[in-house]
Amino acid sequence: MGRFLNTIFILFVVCWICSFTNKAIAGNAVKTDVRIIHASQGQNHIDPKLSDLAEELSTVFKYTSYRLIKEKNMGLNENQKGVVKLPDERSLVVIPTRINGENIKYQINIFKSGNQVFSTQILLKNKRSITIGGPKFKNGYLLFNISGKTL
Amino acid sequence: MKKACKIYDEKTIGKFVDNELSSEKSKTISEHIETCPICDSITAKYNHLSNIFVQSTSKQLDKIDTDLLGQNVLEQIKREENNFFKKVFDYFSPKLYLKIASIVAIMIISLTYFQERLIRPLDIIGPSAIVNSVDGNVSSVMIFETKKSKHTIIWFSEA
Amino acid sequence: MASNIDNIEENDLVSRLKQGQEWAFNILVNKYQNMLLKIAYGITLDREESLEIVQDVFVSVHKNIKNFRQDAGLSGWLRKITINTCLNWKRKWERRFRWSHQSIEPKDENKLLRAKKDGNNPETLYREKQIELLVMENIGKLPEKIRVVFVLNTLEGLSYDEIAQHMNIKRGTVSSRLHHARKILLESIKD
Repeated sequence: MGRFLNTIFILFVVCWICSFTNKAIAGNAVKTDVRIIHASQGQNHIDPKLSDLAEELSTVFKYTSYRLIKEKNMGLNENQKGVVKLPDERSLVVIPTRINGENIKYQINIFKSGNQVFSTQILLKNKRSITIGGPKFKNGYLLFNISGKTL
Repeated sequence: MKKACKIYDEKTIGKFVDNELSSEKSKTISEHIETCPICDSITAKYNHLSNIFVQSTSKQLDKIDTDLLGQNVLEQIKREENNFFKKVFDYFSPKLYLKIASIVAIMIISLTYFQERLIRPLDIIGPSAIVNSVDGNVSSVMIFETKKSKHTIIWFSEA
Repeated sequence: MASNIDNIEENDLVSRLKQGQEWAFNILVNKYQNMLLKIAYGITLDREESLEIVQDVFVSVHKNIKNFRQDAGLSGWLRKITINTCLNWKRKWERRFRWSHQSIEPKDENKLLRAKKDGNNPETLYREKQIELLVMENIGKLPEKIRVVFVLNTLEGLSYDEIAQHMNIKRGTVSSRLHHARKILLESIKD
């Protein structure tokens, strides 16, 4: 019994150290996933890959259709640029400018025909996402869902 | 073919040798042995085995130098008491600490395992993102969040 | 010092040990070292290891004396710790017994067993020595549960009831194990 408890104790110490190590090593890189979504009031349709997000968005938007146009998963180091090409000669640039275990600071820029049309700086909670929307596209709008997770 | 006594088995003779029988039974067997060469032989062999073991052990023990045993023990105790890691471990060794540690360990392991399910809902108490600045060629910008999971949304209208 | 060892009451010794008195600890070592060495040697059949084991036992006693409750008696408690320490040493002895079997051969064991004590002639002495070696070697081969019972009975002279209590087994089991030990040992020095 004593040996069992000792083992548990050692396990606890290892877990405890690991929890610190995890935080300490976080901040080197971040997994950034960008989903390009077309939201419209067309035929009812929710892309199965968007079921989690569409449910949230439907509480604030009146759109009946959410289609996933593109998805890009990137592993970005601090200050490394991630570029996602968008329809209509648009592009999205995501740069994690500061990474720690709790938050990721992103610089997000949207370009159209080479000109910057939108720029924001956000502090995203680790393992969560933000949605940016607005550009008109095919009787609807484009939404960019950006999620970040430290590696 | 090994001869066996029809009255007493070897196990009973063993108990007799070990003085584990009632005095009455011991007396009966003792009388029996005088007339039974088989039981007499078994008794002799058992005693012989014991004697060999006792004498051999005794001879070996005589060769062990125990003069420094006490001193060595005390030195070992002092060494262990001065060992930092040992001290830390001993501090946590009592059962109460171990029980607490085991509960905490189980909790941590469970939380680590289920963190996707358990920790995330705690995280979503606040907005998913804080918007520090917005700029660009836009006519309007709205920032809002969903009620349920406080998902942050930026909505802009191109100029 | 000897008179101190003999005169000191067990209760007094224990309370002094609990207070951490080095003097009391020396008395404890002097008083019980032979008993513990005998058990340890009986189980391990190795002088060096039994000395190490007994040393470990006393260190363990020093650490745990505060938790000692006197219901089992000090010697019973020490005996128990020694047996457990010896059994934890098991792996080591398994290794040792593998290479220690380079014993006397060929042996006409029946002849050996029949060796009569007809004086101190070299042949008789040689035969007796061979029997002793053979018995000790085969004690080393006994399964540990059987060996411990055999040691406690033969070397310590404990009764079946005392052994049963020590090892947490039934009295009948003690008797069976002893019978088994003797049978194996006698068989091994026969044909």
